[in-house]
Amino acid sequence: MWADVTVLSEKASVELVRRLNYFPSNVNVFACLQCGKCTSGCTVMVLMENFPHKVVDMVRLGLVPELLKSDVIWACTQCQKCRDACPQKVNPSEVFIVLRNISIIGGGSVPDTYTSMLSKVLEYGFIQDAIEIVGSDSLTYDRLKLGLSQLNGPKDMDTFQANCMDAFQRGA
Amino acid sequence: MEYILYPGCLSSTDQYQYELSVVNVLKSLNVDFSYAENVNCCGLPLRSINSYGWVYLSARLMSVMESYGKPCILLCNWCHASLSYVKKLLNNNEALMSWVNDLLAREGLRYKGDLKFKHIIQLLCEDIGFEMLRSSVKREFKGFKFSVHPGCLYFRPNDIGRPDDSHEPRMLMDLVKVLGADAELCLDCCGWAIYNTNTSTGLTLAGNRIKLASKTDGIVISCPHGGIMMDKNYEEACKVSGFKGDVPVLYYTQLLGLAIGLSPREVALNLNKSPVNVLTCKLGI
Repeated sequence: MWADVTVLSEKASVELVRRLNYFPSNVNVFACLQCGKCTSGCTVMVLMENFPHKVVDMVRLGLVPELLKSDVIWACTQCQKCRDACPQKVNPSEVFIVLRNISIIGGGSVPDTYTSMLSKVLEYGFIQDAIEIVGSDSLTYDRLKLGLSQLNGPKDMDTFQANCMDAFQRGA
Repeated sequence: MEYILYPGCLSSTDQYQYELSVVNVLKSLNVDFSYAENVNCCGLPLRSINSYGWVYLSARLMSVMESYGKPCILLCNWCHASLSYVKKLLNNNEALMSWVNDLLAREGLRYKGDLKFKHIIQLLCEDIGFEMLRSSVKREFKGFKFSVHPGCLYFRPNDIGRPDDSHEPRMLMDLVKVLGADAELCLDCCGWAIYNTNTSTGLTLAGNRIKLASKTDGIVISCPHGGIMMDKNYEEACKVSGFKGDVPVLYYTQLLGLAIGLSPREVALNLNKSPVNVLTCKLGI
């Protein structure tokens, strides 16, 4: 999936690199030294062939459109090891987040689990509704049976939903 | 001091053993608290969709809790990291602050930025203290060794300010040791975030983490994401990573509850899916 640099100018988009700063985050791709510390400590490097320093390099070369076509932007578990390891405060874990934001605001697909969590937040205020759990005694438990109070979600649900819609659709 | 409690999405909709053990432990230790109302998800799990949505949700949560004028107890590493990070972003970005306050104003809310919040682990270490805990122990874990799992976002990323050292987090280790047990530290990732988009990778990470604790008496956690991955998904995670063995996975507040004399039922050990009965058998309870 890595780009052929001879066709760099055709594939690059300076505008999309600028868009990295549209979203609230803490990224600084141009400070990268390509030392590879992020990749050497990456939780999913072996399992998912994710090489954060290469992703950062592609971003600063302007190859954001190539990355947006690839699944690599979703191959990060947000453990923040790379962010703490980086001597230049590039924050690769943030680069992945912002690339996901750019992809989605540009019409890219949202993974099903995220769609589901967002719809639950709109409905209840939380990423899922309170579920029933079967205990080791084979009995079914919910909050009420455990003596826990009912969930205290947003009181003015209409305004909360409208605000969420505005915030989650904001592109810049 | 009186606190308000915000358990967060996963503890209050799924990982009831965490919330219930926290509630019963706090009551036993005579800590005054009440539940925060009109609250919502901190938004961090949804940040991949849009970071503005995340900022709004965290800012809303903080503005609601600020109105109580009391410090807040959080149970989830993600909530704690999210509020810490959004607080920092808003403090350094006036435009972002006024945007979010415009949204909040529609609900009559306003983010001021003066909420004090602590993770339950921080609260136990700093506000309740080791002396108080040591003197409350009725059932010691002498001869036990636990694999301590503080969870990524409790000590990373350093640049947003975390409660514990990013290379050698000590708090959860010290809390386990105060109960008389031996402890070894593991800084691995439970895999929750990748589990959302790639189930097998998430389960492999969780299974590999469980495997690392095979020679201990169990894994001690303090974040519901670890609870979902290593306890709720115990069987599947072990299967995917080819591990056969019994490793109890439980919340620190469950362990603490047992230590200060609560019954297994009072810390909801019957809701754990990992083989916690191995632990209660060893304890003879």
